[in-house]
Amino acid sequence: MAREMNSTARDIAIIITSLVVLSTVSTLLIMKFEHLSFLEALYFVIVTISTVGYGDITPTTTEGRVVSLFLIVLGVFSVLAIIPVISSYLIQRGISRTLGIAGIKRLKGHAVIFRYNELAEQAVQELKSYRIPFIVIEDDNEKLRKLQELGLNFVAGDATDERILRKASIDAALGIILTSRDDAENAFVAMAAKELNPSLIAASRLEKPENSRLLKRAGVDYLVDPREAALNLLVKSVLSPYSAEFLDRITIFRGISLGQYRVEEASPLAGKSIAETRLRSRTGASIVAVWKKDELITSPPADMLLEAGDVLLILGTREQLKRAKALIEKGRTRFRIKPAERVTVREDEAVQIRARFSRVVFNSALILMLMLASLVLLPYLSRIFEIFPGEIASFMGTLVPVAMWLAIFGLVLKMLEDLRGLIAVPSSLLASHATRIRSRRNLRRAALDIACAGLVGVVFALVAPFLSGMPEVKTLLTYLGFGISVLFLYDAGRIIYSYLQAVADLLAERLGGDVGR
Amino acid sequence: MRNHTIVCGYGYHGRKIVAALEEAGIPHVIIDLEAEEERENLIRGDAKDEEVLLRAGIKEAKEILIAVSNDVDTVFIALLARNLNPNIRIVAKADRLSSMKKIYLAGANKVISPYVIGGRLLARAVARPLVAEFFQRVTIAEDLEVAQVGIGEDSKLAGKRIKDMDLASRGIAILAVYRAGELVPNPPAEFQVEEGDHLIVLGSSEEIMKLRGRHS
Repeated sequence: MAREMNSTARDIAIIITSLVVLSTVSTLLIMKFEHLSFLEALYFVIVTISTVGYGDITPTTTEGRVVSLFLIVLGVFSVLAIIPVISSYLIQRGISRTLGIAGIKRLKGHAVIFRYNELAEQAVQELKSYRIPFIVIEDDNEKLRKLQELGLNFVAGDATDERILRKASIDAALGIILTSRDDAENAFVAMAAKELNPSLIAASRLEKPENSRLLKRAGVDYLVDPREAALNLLVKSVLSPYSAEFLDRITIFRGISLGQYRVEEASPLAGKSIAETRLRSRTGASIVAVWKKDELITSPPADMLLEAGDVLLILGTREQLKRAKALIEKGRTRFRIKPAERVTVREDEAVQIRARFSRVVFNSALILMLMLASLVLLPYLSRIFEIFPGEIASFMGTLVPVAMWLAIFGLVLKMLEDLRGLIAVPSSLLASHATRIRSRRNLRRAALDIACAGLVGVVFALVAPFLSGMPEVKTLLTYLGFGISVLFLYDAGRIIYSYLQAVADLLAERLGGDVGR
Repeated sequence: MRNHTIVCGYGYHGRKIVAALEEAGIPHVIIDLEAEEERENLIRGDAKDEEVLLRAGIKEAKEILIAVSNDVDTVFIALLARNLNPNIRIVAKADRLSSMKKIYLAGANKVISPYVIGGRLLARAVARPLVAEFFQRVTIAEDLEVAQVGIGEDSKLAGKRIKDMDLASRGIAILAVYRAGELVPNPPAEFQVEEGDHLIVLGSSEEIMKLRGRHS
């Protein structure tokens, strides 16, 4: 769903941007050709673009009419194009609100939750922390309304109906979480789900302990009796309060957690012994147990060889686990890089830098050429056009500069993207040299962004005096410079915001952890 | 009685807690108004009554477990208990998710909700199936457990570094150390264990017993 919303947002953004560019350019041109004030020209452009066309202001010069022609063709199309995009978005949202989101889109690698209640609420929290998408199946109207309010994915209907399960993309799901109070209902849905997707993991609530065998027979892989689980923890918190606290913490991820990581064929760790991986000293996390096929080896010895297909259970803080994951997947932690590996990283990024750099040079040369052409060649061009009869001459005289400006604008956008990439790459390169926390690296990028925004301003201030003779160009450049600065500042703002959020999370985590006694 | 445990509520949870306390030999008193059976250490009364709590020796008790079936009562008992004994450890069960915060605010040290644990375990079973199975083995299988080992005055482990303890050969892993109430996850091999620490270890029950025995 999120991806779909993004693409809709992108479509709208593209159309709006082109509308803004189009109306700015044509307003400036109309101002010049029709000798109107800025407001009058803008009014004319908007009235035309929106197909209202009052007709109180009409173009009288040939140039003005040519611009209007373009404006009508391009502008009206853009406006017409935006209407279905917005309306389809609204309709889709309406449908998904009443039918559940999966009625429209297929999910993959997700969890299906059967029934929404207090237990499901907690399961949802946990799935969110694992970043696993989920969808709820529910047929109670009140619960459905709640799901709507919360904006969670859901399918409305009876889960014992295969079609409803299919709507929740059960065949592509990772697992199903059965939270009904009714054991019989859970068993039935488990069977139906397993039939549609045999590799699915079925985890079910157990209300009556005597039903556990029946549920197992129905295909449930994992049973949780919430009362029993709470009781175990209660008893443990009396008999051994510290280990109870510890287990509670890793269950709900407060400060520390146990992660599972598969050693893939391509992993640099495959074939190495645990000692050789130096996972402990490089990440701070530790391997608590290893699943070799179906065998569980706890506290594995340091000389045990890791093979592809092994699954490591690793204990650590969020940061430590992130580093361990990077080590297992890529053979390097994000923070400390062995010299040999650092070179390959550099080469990768060097290629990127070179490619981007040459593109930027090429693009800026093109832009410069086009600008020079439009400034120097145009007077000659218009003289050449005079060979043609009057109207065609003025048409060409308008078309060429408009086309040039559009080309320049497109090139500048492309160059901007490359420049952003160029700035991002060396800043990350700088950061990977030493052990630095990631947020600091990001902060450096934010600082660079702000500096770039400033630089654009300075460049503009330097160039501006030379443009006093060409007010339109100056206005256009003002908008352009302003736009570029805004892009940079947006990026900086995003980073600073996420940094602040990380600090807040950290504080909350610190304050959240309380230990009995 | 001193340094004992008070159990409020002798229902489904209460009974099992009491059974565990008896097995572990921890002195305890039970408070319940409607208990069917008669027991020597059972006080028949309402735990919301200050008198009853005092009779159960709340002023000298080490901890109180609140396992009654009504969250409103739980909050009230927690408030009373905290008021009567500022140092007591209060562990409570919450029936409804929305009451958890209130019970904490009432002064509980630890609130346990079946929904929180159950929901999280269910999600983990799908998201991290092998971690879930690992824990199922640890909690259900008798031979493997996550346990705490307290380092007392006379412990031989006090002052030792983890790498000098020769734990690897016995299949024991130290997952974390609690020091002065602070959690130190994944202590490094150079970590020096001190008196008063609590080690959280993973290993076979037998080896953990030996580890406990070696220093007690």
